[in-house]
Amino acid sequence: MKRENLGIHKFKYPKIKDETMWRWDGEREEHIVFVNPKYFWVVLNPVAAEIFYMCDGCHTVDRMVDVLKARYKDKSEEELRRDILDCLRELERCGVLTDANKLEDKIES
Amino acid sequence: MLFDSEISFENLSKFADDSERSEKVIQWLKKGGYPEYLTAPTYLLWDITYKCNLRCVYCLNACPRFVNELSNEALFDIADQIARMKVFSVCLSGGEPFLRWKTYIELACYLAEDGVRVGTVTNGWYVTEKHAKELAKYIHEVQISIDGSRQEVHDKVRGVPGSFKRAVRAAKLFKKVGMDVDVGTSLTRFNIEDFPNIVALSKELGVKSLRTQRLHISGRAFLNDVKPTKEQYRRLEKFIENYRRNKSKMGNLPIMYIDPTIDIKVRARIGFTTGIGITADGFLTVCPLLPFEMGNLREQTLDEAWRAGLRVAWKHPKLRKIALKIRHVEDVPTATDGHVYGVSGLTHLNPNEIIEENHEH
Repeated sequence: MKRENLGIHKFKYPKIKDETMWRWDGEREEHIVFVNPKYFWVVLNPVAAEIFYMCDGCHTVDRMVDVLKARYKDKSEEELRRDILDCLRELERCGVLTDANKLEDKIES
Repeated sequence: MLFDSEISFENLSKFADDSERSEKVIQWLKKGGYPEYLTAPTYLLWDITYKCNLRCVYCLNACPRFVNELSNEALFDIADQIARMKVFSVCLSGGEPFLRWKTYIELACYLAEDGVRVGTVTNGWYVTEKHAKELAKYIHEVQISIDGSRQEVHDKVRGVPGSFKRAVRAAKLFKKVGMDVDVGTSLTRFNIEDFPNIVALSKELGVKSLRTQRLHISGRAFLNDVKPTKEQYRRLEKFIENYRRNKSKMGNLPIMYIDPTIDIKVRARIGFTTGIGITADGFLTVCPLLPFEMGNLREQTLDEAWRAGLRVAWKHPKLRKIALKIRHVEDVPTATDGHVYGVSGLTHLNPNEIIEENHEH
């Protein structure tokens, strides 16, 4: 079974690549727009934007779930975890996600 | 579901031709997953001149055209505004943009140093090794126009002898200095049959991709009889389909054959503006296919124009009415009541006439 199906993303510390161009956007600045290097650009809704913003190389998926759980009290942990993993998969598919854990390994070696 | 993978524009474009999927995405948009407007354009197509050394039979801007071009000072002022607004990318185009070389390269440097991704489109005529090295410092992506696999075809379409040799030489120089090069081919009845050979030439040149689309009948393409026939398009599309199916056997050069009206179809439905154009005389346009402007940078800043209505220009009833009629690129000139880009000037859209209620959120 794939790691994602177990609720674990293959990146321990997901991180948006430094070269990614992005900005907060929308009338309340709660959306994120970023350039998708594989195609064009993507608009994220407010929840996806929060997840994107947490991809800073410090948050694990568990930590992201905790943060969203505090904000979206009516959502179950499973639902939140599934959404986070969907979002991470999508960001990875766009080519903007990396693993800060691996980067640290590289620096240390 | 809090996060929906279908919110990306990538998917929206991919499915825009598929009415069922497209409708599904539009329905999703109505739920409010998108903002009402963006805080700045994502992309700018910036024509810095309409001067041109070539006489392409199809030129969409009908160049060379002599207009009251923005001064160097104005260009740099606009570049500041672009950086301040966090526009992601700018394509410097024309005309032939290198005819303002000194200004061009300083502008590219200025934008790149401010974190804006700069691309460019050129016919390659003026490119020397020195120019290529300069460009490589600031330009993220260059598209060179090649309209034939040999000089008899290319030079006929581009209207000036020697242009094929110059274009190929430029592509090689760009590659030599390590730049990502795309080839852009405009299809006319004179060169469409040569397309498979252009694919072969592009592979030989080692370019990143080959971009083409059905010809938009605008500018000189409106005045000249250059449109490919239905049968020619049918054969081309069959070739591209076959090429894609057997890509591994035929080499891995991507052919980007794009429906140029996708942006119109989608934006007319969602109501907000993403990419815009700046003409050499400062007008702000909402779409390179439609002859409408909503303001001029001689009279207001980009941010002022954006806030005044450009950001929701697709909610303007006149634009919306026309845009919703467009199904194919062939519809564009008739759909715009005979107003043709590069020939009859631009129609002004008054931002005060925008009706907020008529969009689909």
